[in-house]
Amino acid sequence: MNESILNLGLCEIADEIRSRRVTSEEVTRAALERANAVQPHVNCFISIEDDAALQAARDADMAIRRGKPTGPLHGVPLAHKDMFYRAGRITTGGSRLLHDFRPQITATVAERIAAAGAIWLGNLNMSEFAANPTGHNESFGHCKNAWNQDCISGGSSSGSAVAVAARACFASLGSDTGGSVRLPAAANGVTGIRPTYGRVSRYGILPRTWSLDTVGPLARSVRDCARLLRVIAGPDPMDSTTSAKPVPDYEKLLDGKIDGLKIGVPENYFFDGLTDEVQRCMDESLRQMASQGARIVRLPVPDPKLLHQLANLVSQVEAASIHAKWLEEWGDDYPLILRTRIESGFLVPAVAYLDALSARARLTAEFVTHVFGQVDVLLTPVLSMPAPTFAEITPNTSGDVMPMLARMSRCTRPFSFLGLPALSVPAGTSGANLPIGMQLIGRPFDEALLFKVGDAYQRETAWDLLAPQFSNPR
Amino acid sequence: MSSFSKSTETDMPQQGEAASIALIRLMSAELRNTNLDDRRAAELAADFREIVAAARTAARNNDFTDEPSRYLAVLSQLSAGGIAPP
Repeated sequence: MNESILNLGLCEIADEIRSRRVTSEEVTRAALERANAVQPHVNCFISIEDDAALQAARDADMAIRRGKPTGPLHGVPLAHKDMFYRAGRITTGGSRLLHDFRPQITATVAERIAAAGAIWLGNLNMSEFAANPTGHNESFGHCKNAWNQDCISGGSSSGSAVAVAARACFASLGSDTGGSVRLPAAANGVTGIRPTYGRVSRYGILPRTWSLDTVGPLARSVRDCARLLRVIAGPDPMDSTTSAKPVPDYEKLLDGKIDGLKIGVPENYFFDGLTDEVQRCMDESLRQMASQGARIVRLPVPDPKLLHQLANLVSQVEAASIHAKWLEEWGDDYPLILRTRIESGFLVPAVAYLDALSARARLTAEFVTHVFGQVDVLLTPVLSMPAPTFAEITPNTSGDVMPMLARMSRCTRPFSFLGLPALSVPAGTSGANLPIGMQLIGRPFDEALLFKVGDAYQRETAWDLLAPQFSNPR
Repeated sequence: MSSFSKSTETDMPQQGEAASIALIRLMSAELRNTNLDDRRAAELAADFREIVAAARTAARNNDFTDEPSRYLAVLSQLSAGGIAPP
């Protein structure tokens, strides 16, 4: 019974709870059991809030019995990257250095999912300070891949992807600066979206890079992501970068039809150096979409390497500013990867930083004009290889850090600089049974089209339904 | 076989890199009161050169009206199918 509950998606379980075929307490209890069972295997949680979650679930059930209005997430247990503030509660940002940090404010996204009725199951592991794409964490232990615990989970929203894949929660909020939703989603076989910069409020989240940070959902399916994004998106007077553009009802626009849509495939950069398995999955995904009526268009795209470097520049400088005081105070206690990548930021001339930001509007307009003047969405891999093992990728020295970062985020970071929405969708598995993901990129604020394409693909494939197996998970 | 290469020994800087390594050492000492060892100074200098070169490339086509805050407005303009003026 519990197993079958946990294999439902977010939208399905919300319908089950609303229609009283199952109670939120039953669902939450099952999710908590699962979370506690898989935690020793994958280390995806920093804290599990058993008692508070069960009480909230009982309250949710009571509200239904009394006929009170229910939101789109009513009674559904979710868990989130440990960087969303809730006033008075500890938010670690994945670092032992913040073990007693109790913010005095609540993140707008946390308020919105609570208003929509979600149950907060616990706080999820993450790369320390959201600052590496691998999931390494020296403070709370590394979060391990849901499919093979010798492999990295991807990061920085490592726990989010792993907990969703492991059926320990139905969806999760993560954050994406250079790929932090998309990379772990791809590495663990779940769906995740980096929304357009400005689509979702960043108020009350631990900052990584102000100019690039976004909040995005990870879930089992495109439809589940669509529901969660609609809940959290929209203008926020507390975040001046949020857009006033209306938020579409994404779910209503999912009709399974992509005939006539043009899917762009970059001729340069993104498909360089792929492993054979990733290349095969991309080819098969394109064939699948073509069989559904999409037109595949190959085209060159404006220099992604430059965009990658500019994103690095902005990220390093802003991170240096954010971490300067802590770094001075804690010094060698800082994790190697973060310390290494921040250090350059202290030395970059202010003019170079402003040059990069000044060029951003123009480079975005050029990219959008060139690419989306020819195609409706762009398709790339998320990672050029399946998730590597810890032994393969863990840096030994500072000299190992930057090449590792560049390799991990080469397909995701260029779109972060442009601020474009990007959806990571499971698109196959490797011979070693590790998930492989594809990335769909769209025009600014056109998340609806990405969802439409991703959902149409998922209706005809089953990659999003695969679940990792654990020995003795309960 | 891993496709990730790790450093196994300290790479010695080329002649032309010496100036930027010296600059990095100086800035690190002045701005952060930190003395870098040879290897780290060389790594940072390489990173620094790449970043500054990217900024220089990007700036080549910037003009004085390109203030960073235009970015959010341009994102909005691009969303409706219209293309923002370069």
